[in-house]
Amino acid sequence: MVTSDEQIVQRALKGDADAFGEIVERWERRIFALAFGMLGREEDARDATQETFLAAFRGLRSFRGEAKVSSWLHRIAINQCITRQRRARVRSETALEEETASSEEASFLAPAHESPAQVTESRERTLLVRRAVNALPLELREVIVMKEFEELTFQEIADALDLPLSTVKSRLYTALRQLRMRLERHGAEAALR
Amino acid sequence: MNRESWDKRMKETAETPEMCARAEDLVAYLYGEASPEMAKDFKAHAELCETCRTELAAFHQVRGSVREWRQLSLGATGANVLAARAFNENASRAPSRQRSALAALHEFFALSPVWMRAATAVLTVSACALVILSIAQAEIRWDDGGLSFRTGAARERLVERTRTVEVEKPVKVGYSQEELDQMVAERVRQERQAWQKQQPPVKIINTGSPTRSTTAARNAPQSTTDATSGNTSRQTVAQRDRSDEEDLPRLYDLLDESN
Repeated sequence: MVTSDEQIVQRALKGDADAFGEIVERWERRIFALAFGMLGREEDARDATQETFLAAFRGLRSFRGEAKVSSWLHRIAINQCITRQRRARVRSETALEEETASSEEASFLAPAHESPAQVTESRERTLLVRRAVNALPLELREVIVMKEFEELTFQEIADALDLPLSTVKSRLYTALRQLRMRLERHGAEAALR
Repeated sequence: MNRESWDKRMKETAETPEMCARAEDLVAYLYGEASPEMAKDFKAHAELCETCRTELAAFHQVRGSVREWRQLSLGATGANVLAARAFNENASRAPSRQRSALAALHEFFALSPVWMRAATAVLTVSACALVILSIAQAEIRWDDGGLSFRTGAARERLVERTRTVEVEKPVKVGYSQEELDQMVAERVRQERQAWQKQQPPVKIINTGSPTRSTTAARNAPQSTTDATSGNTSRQTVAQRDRSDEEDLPRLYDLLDESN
């Protein structure tokens, strides 16, 4: 019998030591994907994921079941990503500007069947997308990442962010529109070089 | 991609008219979350709306680029994300697959052995009987008269009948003459016994002839008195006092006896 997230959290609140581990196991990949989409670097995403679950564990007592566990975790994860980005900006070491070649290689898994030229082209294109996504305002970035990286439904995004369904759709539309503009602009600049 | 082609695309972007009123429908259609009716309706609209058609094509490209980034960056992790999503979708669908309690019970009986089915049936019947008996306030009693069974309704009727009988019984007022006579006789008898107990016991000492003579003397005057009419009660009392004095032991008798 499959237990819901809420039931597992209730078990954790009653002192079941393994219950929170089940929550982590169930959600870590999705939270990691969210963090990766928000932050753009695997290392940052791993740290943010770890901090998300630590914060969730510390705040377990404050979880009153008014919202879904998924919404609660997403909210924590997004806050962790925002905090990390602010810290990075303060230290002037944002992932995009100060990314080294090694970290670029580490976070890029080129398909084996592609030629070196194709790999280079894919890498450049990916870098463009990352920059474009990272340049989006937070409210647009979080919906596009949740949709494209976590593949959540509109309703799930609405629940997680506590937004009306129509707002999620309109934000997604605006995010896609801005991404299109940015990608075309960056593509044009690259072509001009 | 040469400069001319990019210039052309940028020109197209710049020339893109303002967003269509059906932007939300466009997003729902793009991500496959529109209902069949809405999808059909929007498809028909997009054939006529230049804005929606252009944006739909452009958004498909954007999505492809983002997915490429995700796939190339996350690789196996991205696959895990999809696997995790599939797991969670199954988990979320699981409650709908839960059987009803009746179906689960039916399956349990189908798999259980015959003796367990029989025992469960007996237990169920017993439990139902107990519930019915308790609701009916039944009372089962085993005494000298044998097994008796009464329900709460029957008991209530019996109690009611008893009350009725008690009410109809004539109330006893006062005592009958016989009872009064018996009570008076009993009271007199008790008083007499009490009076006799209060009287000091008379120690009769054998004094020989004088005692016998006194007895004779006591009887003599009484008969004399009875014989002579006209004697008064005062004379009788005086004679009794005298005879009592004669009954008392004499001092010399006592001295003789002590010696």
